[in-house]
Amino acid sequence: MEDENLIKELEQLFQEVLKKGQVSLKYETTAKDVDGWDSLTNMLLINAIEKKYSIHFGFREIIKLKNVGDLCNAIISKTK
Amino acid sequence: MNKSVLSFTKKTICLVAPFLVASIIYIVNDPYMVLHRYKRYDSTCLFLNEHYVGWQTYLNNRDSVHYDSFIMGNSFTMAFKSASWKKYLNSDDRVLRLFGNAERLSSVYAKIKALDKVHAPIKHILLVADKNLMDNTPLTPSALNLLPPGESNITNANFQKSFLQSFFIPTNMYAYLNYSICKTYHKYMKGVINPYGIVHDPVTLDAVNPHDKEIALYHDRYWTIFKSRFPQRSGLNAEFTPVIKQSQKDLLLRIKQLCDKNHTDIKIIMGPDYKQVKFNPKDIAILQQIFGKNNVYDFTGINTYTEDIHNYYEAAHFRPTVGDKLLQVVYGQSSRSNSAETAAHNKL
Amino acid sequence: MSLISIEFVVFFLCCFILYYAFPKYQKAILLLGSCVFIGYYHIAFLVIAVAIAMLTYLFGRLIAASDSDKKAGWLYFSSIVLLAFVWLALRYPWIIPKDKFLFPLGISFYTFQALAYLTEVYWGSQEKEKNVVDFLIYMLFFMKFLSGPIERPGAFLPQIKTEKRFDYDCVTFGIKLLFLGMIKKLLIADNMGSYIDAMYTNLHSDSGIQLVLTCLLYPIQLYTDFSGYTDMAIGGAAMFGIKLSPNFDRPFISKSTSELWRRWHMSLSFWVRDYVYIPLTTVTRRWKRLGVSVSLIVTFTVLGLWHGAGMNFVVYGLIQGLIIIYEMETTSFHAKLLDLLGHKIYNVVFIIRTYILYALSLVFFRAESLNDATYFISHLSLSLKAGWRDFKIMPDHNYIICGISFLLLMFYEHFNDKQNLIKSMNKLPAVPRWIIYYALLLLLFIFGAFNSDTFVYLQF
Repeated sequence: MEDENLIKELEQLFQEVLKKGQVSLKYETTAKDVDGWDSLTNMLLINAIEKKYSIHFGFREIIKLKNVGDLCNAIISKTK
Repeated sequence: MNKSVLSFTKKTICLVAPFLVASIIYIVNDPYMVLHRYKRYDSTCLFLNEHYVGWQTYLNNRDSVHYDSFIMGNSFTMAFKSASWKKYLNSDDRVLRLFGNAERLSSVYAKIKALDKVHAPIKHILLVADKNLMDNTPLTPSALNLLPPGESNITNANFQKSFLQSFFIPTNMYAYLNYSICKTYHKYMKGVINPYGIVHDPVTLDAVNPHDKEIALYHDRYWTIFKSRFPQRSGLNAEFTPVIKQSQKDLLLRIKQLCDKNHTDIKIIMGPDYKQVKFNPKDIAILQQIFGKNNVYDFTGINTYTEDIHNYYEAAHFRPTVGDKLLQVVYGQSSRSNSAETAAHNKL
Repeated sequence: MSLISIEFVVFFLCCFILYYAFPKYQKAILLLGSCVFIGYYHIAFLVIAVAIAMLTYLFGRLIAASDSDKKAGWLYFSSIVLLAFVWLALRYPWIIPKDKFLFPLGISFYTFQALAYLTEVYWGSQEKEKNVVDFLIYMLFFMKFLSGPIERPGAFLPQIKTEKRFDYDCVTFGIKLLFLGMIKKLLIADNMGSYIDAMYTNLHSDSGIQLVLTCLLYPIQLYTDFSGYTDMAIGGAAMFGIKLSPNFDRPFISKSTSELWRRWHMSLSFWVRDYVYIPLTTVTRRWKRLGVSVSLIVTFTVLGLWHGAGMNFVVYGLIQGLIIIYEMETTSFHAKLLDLLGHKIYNVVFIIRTYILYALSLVFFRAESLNDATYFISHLSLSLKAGWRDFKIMPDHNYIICGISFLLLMFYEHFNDKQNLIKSMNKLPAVPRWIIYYALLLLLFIFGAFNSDTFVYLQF
C-alpha cells in the first residue's frame, strides 16, 4: 500500500482509539508529539493496528518502534 | 596545570578562604570552650552552654570534691546557694548546681540518668522549676541549649558542629570579634556576649549575679532606678491550665525510678514566679502523687514572696534571700504537711 | 560514609584530585574509589555488590554469545530468577531472618540496574559489555551507589569509555548542583524530619489536625530529602565528567497521578514502565483496557514492594495503580471539566488534588505497618486536642526556615524549567554572583540541620 494512504489510515485509527478530533502524523512523529498517546494508550493502538491489518508484532519488534515511520515500515513489511 | 584548572583552583580558594579563616579563628580561640577541656569555664566573652559547663565541671572535680547533692532546674536555681542548702544536708555532702537556662523536664531527666550512668552518688536533688520546665515544650534548637554527649545521645562530632555553626551566624561572629577587639558592649550583643566576666563559682557553679553589685551600690534605690526591669502586674488571681500530660508524667515517673534506685531525697520547688500566675493544682497533685506530699512545694501565685519586688533582681529571677526562706520552709519544717505551709504563705 | 559527612568530603576530594591529576588512571580511580566507599560501610556489602556485578557481567556475555533464541531465553530467565532471588533473600526477611543478616546498602538500586542490563542485552538493544572494569564501574560507581539514580546501560557505559579532561563549566555546574542538593536536604528535609518522625512515633496521641499537617508536610520532606540526594549524586558525578539521569522533574506541578509518576523517582518509575508494564501490556493487549488496568495494578504493586515487604507498601503501590486506572477511564470527563473551568482553575484544582492524593498514599509508605497507616487515615480530622498549639508540630523557627526555603525552591524550579538557572548564573557579573555564592554557603552553614546523616531512600 502507498505510504501516504497508510499515514491517513493511521491518523484515522489514532483518532478513534485516542478519542481525539484531529490527529496529524508524520514519519518523525513520536508519542511526545501526540496528545493522549502515552504508555497507557500505546498498546491499545498496537492492538488496533494488528486487528486492522491482521498482523502480529513480536515483543522485540514493538520495543524497537521509535516513531510513526518505524510503525509504517513494520506494517508494510508484515502486509507484503 | 592548565588554565581552567588554575582558574578553578583560584576561585575555590577565594570561595573557601573566608570560611577557612573564620574556622581557624574558631579553632585557635575556642570561644565556646568546647574544643578542649578546661579547669574553669569562665574565660570567654561568649555565653556558654550551661549544660556542658555543668557536666564538665562535674567531670573535672568529681574525684576531688565527691559531689553527691545537686541543685537542678532552670535559672531560678541562682537563688539557691550551695552553702544555704548544705545547712539542711549532712556535713560531708557536696553540692553542685547542674542547671540549664530555660531548662526542660526532659533535660533534667537526662542529667539524672547521666549521673546514674556514671555511678555518681545522688543523695539529694533540689529541683527548682516553673511551669515551662514542667510543660517540657521543646526550645528552638541552638548550640547553647544542646545537651552534651555525656548527657544525651548526640555524637561529639554533631555537638562540635553545632558550635561551629553557631559561631558562623553573622551576628554571633561579628559580636564576638567586635567585643574581643574593642571591649565595648553594645545592645545588639545581648544574649551572645557575656560582659560580666565570672558568672558562677568554679566548683559549685553557684551563680554570681552582676545585679548584686548594683544592689550593694544603690541599696533600696535599686528598685527605683531600675523600675523598667519590673513590669506592672495585674494583681488578679490567675492560674495556668494543667500542663502535665502523659509524656511529662512518664518522664516524672522515670525520674522517680532513678531517685528510688539511688536512694535520692528529692525536693521539688515551684519557684515564686514574678508574674504571679499559679501553677495548676491538678499538676501539683500529680507531682505529689509521684514524689510524695512532703517533697513538692508550690510557691507560685500571689503570696508574700511574689508580692514584694525587693525579692527580685528583675522580672525573671528571685534573689537568694528568697531562696533561703524557701529552703527553710522545705527543710526547716519538713515534719508538718506542706499544704498547710504553702497555704500560710499564700495570701488567699 | 554519608554524602554529608567529613569523611566523604575528604574521600571525594582525594578522588577528584587524583582523577584529573592522573587522567590515564581515571577508570582505576573510579573503581578503587567505589570499592573503598562501599567497603567503608561493611566489607560484606562490597563482596555482595561485586559478586552480583560479576554474575551480571558473565550472564550478559553468555546471553549475547548464545547461538539460539531458546538458549538465550533460558540464560536470561535463569539470570533474572537468580538475581531476583538473591535480592529478595537479602532485602526481605522471608528467607533469612532480618536479625541474622545485615541488609546490603544499595542492593535494590544496583540489582535493578543489573536486571535492566540483562534485559537490554537479551532484547538486543544493548551490546554486551566486554570490559569488566567498565562494567564494574557501571554497577558500583560511588556517586549513585547508595540510592540511585538507576542508570540504563546505554546511557552510562559509553561515558566511561572516554578519558575526561578537566572541564571548568562541567565541574562548576556539578559543584553548584551538589550545593543545591545539600540545601534541599539540610535546610528543608532535615529541619522537618525529626518532627514528622515524632508524629508517626506518637501516632495514637496525635490530634486529627496534627495528623492532617503531618500528612500534608511529609511529601515535602520526602521530596527534598530524596531529590537533594539525587542532586548531590548528579552534581558529584558531573564533577567527574559523568552525566547521570534525572530522578525528579518538578513533581508537585503534576495535574494527575500518571503525570506524577513521570516526574517522581523517574529512574524507578521508568524502569518499572519499561521492564514490567510494557512487557505486561504487550502480553495482555488482546484484553484492551482491561489488559492495561491489570498491567498497571501489577506494575505498581511491584513498585510498592520494591520499597518494602509490608502490606502497607503493597497498598501504597496499589493506590497509585487504582488512581491511574480511574484517570484513564475518565479522560473525557476531565476534558469536559477542563473546558468548563478553563486551564488556570483546572490546573490549580488538579495540582492540589494530585498532591493531596499522593500525600494520603504516602501515609502507607511512611507508617510502620498497615495498622498504623489505617489508624492514621481513619483519624484524620480537624479536631484539636490542645487548641492552636496542635498546629505547632515543629517549632516556629523550623516552620519559617522550611517554609521560606521550600517556596524559594519552587520558584527556582519554575524558572529553572525555562532556562538552566545554574548555567545562567555564569552570565551574572562577578560581584552579585559571588555575593550569591557566599550567601548560600553561609545560609547552608548556619541553618543546615547537620544532625542527621542518613537519607530516607538509604533504607531501600
